Amino acid sequence: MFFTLFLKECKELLRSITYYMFIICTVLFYMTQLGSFDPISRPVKEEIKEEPVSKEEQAMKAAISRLMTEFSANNYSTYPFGFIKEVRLSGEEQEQAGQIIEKLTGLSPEEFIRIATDGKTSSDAVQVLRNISYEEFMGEMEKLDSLLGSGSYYEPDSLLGNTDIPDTYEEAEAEYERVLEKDRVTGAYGRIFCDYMGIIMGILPVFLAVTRSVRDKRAKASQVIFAKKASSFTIQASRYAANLAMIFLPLFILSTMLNSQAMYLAGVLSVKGNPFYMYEYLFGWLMPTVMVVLSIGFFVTELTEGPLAILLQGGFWFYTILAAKKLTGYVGTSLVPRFNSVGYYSIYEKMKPALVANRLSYLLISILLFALTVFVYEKKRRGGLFHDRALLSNTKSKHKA
Amino acid sequence: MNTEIQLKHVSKSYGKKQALKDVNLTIPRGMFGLLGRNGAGKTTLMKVLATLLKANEGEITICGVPVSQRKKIREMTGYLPQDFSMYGNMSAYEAMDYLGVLSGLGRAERKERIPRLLEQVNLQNNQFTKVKAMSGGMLRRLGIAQAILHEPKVLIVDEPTAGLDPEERVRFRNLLCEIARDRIVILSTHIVGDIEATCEKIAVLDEGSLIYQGTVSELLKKAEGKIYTAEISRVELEELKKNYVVTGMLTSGTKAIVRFIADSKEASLIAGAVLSEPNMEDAYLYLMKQQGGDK
Repeated sequence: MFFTLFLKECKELLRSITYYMFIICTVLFYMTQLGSFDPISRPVKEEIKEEPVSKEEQAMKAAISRLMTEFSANNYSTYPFGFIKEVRLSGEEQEQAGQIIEKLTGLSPEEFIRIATDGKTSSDAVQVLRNISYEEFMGEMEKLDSLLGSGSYYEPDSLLGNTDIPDTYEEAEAEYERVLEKDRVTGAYGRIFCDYMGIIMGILPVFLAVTRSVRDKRAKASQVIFAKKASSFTIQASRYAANLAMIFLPLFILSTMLNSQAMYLAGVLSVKGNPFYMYEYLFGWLMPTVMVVLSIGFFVTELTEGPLAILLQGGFWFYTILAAKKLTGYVGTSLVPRFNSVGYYSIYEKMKPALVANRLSYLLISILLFALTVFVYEKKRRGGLFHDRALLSNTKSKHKA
Repeated sequence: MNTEIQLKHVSKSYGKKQALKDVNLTIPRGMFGLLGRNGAGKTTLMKVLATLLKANEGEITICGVPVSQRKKIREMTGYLPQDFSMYGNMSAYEAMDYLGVLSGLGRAERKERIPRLLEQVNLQNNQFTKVKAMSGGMLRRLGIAQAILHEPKVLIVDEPTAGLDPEERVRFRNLLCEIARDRIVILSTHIVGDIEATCEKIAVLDEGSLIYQGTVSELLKKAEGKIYTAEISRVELEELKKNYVVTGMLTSGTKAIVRFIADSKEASLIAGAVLSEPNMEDAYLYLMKQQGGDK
């Protein structure tokens, strides 16, 4: 009975507008965030300075280097709520940004742009003035970030968080080798796929769950379904499993597209790419996110019989995205662990125990919430969650005797 | 083999409101009518029998199986709720197929039974009609077909003819009678005509209490000698309505022919009152009057 119901639920999803909206959003998100393939390449010695520097120094250096590109083009990448957004400053704002640069480097905006665009001078040529302390520097970066509408590369927390990168050529080389050897190239792309798709999977599945859960009531089919022989577990599990499978269908296709590019790159880099790493990440990393969002949707909707779950999950998702302290290598208790870089296996290795614990916890939460959904549904089939009370009863609010 | 439904001292309340009060009832095989005003407790009783509500007190067995054995009961009962519908984008066949799976039917059984049942309810030409495009009558017929798809021993039908046009209503009643040949069919309604046309055995509920259980002819017998007809002026009509339960009237010009409930002493006060044979509606209203006056 379960498998037949599961197939019927999948078929119903294929006729649902909500599902097509889900696919469109997922594909659009993929195209805008991961549409252009960013190939891994061996580090170039000349581009990496030799002597190790402090994290603070590294952060300041990275900010100036990035500013040279972004200020000169007046095109800044920001990540409000995790989504990439290109920002162009107005004349007055760009002037203010120029003043910040001048204060930090002693270079006029024109001189700064000239160095950035002449293509001959190394970015190392621009140094932060000696009399500028790290705190002062970060204060100015905060001003710049606020000019850009926040969520920029220059946000002090992100700046420090994003400096977990190789300091020297040797380190960069070792990092590159690890990607070839441990990640077999495809693993590195698996992580970035999960990072980006995790953002959108932290919210979209709730719409499918709510749509499915309110469908019986909206179609006035609840009573007739309640009276059938099928167990509450079979009914709910078939719906849940169908949603999960159909959510993973586009994810599987998109990840396969990226995987094939990664496999090709592996060939170019003379490495035997592992075609399964991508799917290990896909199911191990993304599935708990999708499952917990679905479970919240099913449980809250079954409990309240309305779209409250969208509001709740929206709030949770918003908090999750905002709470990420860095874009690469952030786990904590987040629903959406972040790894917004291709490569850096050493960072992944460090975060792996926390990631496994995080994913297992969310998996358990989703199973628990699903079990509660079945419990609530079964109670409703027997007359309501609280017998003899109107709340969540399977009779109408005004009891029709 | 036990082919009865038995209710012993069944009560059900929603908070302080008591929907069923100490109901004792035996429902035999065939068509059984459950009559009562809106809010009398009929839907609650139907839901208790369909295991969708749990009685607070009492014992209920369906063909010897206690209702606490929900899975078994759901296997042997078919339920057509008052406001039956299904997912609008499904066709009649798909809706039946989906509900058939929920009833535990295998592919082969569904394939064999669905076309046959759709034909039985005269929907054979609407197999591919979407549920959302169906008329009220078509939906009720689809509802009946889905309710008997798993060949239940008991069919519970709650207010099935409300909102149907006369032709659909007659067709639906005939369909129920056909189905009732080999099973128990409980028809709950507040429409006396439906009961009169289909059921011999009935029960009447009023404010949660069972006020009558027996045959239609026994109920008619109770009202014998209590129904009068008189031709009166329209001016007298208002006065008559104040003092008697009027069960029917036909007005023409300044005159009105009325049927009303009265004993011989009361009837003698009305000029030209003639004793009449009670019909089911008269008998039902007489019973309700006996119970607590005209509400």
